[in-house]
Amino acid sequence: MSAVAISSGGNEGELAFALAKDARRERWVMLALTIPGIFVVAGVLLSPVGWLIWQSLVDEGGHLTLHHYLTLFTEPKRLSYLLNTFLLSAEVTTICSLLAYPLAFALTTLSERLRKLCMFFVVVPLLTSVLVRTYAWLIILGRRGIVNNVLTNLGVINEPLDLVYNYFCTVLGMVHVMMPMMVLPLFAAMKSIDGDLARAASSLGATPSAAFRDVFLPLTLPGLFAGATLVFVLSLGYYVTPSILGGGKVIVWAIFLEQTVSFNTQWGPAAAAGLLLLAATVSALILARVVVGVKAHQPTL
Amino acid sequence: MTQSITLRSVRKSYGRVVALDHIDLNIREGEFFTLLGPSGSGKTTLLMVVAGFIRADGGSLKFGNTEVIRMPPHRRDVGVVFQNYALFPHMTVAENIAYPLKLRHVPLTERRAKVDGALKLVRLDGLGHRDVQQLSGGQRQRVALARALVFEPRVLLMDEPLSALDRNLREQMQVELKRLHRSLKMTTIYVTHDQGEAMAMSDRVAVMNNGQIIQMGTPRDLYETPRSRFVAKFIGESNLIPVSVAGSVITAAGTTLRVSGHVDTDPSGCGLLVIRPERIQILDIHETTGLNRLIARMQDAIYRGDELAVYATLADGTEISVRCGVHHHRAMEEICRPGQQIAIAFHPEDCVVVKSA
Repeated sequence: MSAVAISSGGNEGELAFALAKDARRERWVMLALTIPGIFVVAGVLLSPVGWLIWQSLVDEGGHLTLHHYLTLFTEPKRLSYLLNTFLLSAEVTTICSLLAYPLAFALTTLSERLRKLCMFFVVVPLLTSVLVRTYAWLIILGRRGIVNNVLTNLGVINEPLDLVYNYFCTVLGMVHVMMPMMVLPLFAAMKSIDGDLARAASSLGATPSAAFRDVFLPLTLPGLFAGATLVFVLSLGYYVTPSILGGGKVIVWAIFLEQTVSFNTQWGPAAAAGLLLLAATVSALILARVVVGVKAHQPTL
Repeated sequence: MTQSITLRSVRKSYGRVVALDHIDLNIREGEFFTLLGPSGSGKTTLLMVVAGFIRADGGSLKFGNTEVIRMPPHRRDVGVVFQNYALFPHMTVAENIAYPLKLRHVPLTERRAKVDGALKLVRLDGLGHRDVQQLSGGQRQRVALARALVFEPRVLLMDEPLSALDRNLREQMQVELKRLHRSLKMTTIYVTHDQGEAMAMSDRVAVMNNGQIIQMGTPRDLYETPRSRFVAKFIGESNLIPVSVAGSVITAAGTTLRVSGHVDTDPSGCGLLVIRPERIQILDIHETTGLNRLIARMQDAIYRGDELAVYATLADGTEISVRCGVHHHRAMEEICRPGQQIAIAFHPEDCVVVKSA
């Protein structure tokens, strides 16, 4: 392009004009390249959400109404589903953090070869269907599952224990599914920390726990936050594991949504429920960002 | 209060690799002591053992009269400056420097005063509020130094602290470190692979190789009387001329030479005569002299402004490099034509003979 501009015009003004034209053309090319992406986002994200918002705001006759939202808030049971979903997600996120933190740290201390192997085992569950991973727990913990069989044969128990179809099992299953999401960002954050920082801290007089508290932990917080966000958000919308392992006792918002869709002839109530979850999720994320943002700012001296 | 450092038979192996082979050292109170060696020589391992980051397999390490070999690093009271500075990226400059004081529960007002004092010491006054990421390499180095000094440690350890800086800055920091050491009189162990740096800054230098201390002494000792081929090659530039020694007669390529320095040979009587390039004079082939004199053939002469670098070969093929001072240039250019026969001459006092292996 510039070669053309140089050969076509000799004087200063013409060149400047040609350069401006080149710049404009470049911008159009960039725009043209992003158009497919924009179409995808608009087509599969923005327009369905727009449609949902519209559905949640009209009644059967097509008149504007807040009825669908008001029902959600007036029936205490429904709000408790929402609360439960948040509590379950928070629990899963906390447990994942506590389990993944030492695991990710251990991974950073391994030799290159051993680490690649262990990393493979961390990532492998991601390559397996969630359904398969969830049913595996039924095989392990079910009434005639491995655990109950072993315990019965050893004579520890007479009757098989009820290990599945409850809240505990739901949490267990979800933690299992979510672990890689937590380990990977944490590992990335820990791996990027210079090992000399911990040595520096200890040479300056920090006990191992002080060095962890003052240097290592603060530097891993972004990774922890990234992992926690991922796990929390995914957990909020989780359907498969609670519905299989919860045995109908654990009603999370996604299960409630599914019921709403099948019990109603209309999209309105479900649309309102979905949007409420979306709004709650976004506010939770903003709140978390504010809290962590404040925390990351250390007091001076 | 700064203290002496005494090592007795300190050793460390990794499997079959011996990283430190029975190291004995006495570093005096207030001394600037350098561990010099190529990579893998064990110098950094030794420093890490003194800092407490690496646990030795055996031996004794004392600061003053206190045995510290089993003491964890956070109780040793050593200031360490790392190669890549190891500043805490989530803290400001002042927070970094205040950290060791905070750990020692120094009251806030005193802490502030000490941080300001340390910043002044390394000439970074007024930069306390900066993020460490905003600093240049040289400034980070100074912060690392301030942080290592602010709590008045017993000893200061530096692991190749200048190697990440560019050449000009490195020379400037050498002068600055020297000035700091003069004013603080802190017992310092400095690790480097740069012999020029070691020569410029140290009271004493230990040359290390394969986990052992090969030779120890003042920079002048090491340069002028190397005791081995390794030290002669590693410190400064050397000409190594094969000689045979029979009794008190030393011959090189059939010519008898006089050596008033130290003479050490292989059991077979072979050795290498060490002579520094700037100690050799170049003579016309017909000129005679009372000094040691060998015949050589000119290869090349390179004008470097402050000196003339002359390359020649002896009859047996040994390459000789000579550096002539500025005032000799004109005369030299007459003699130094490639292919020409010349004579090289050197003083017996400037020679030592070391084992050839």
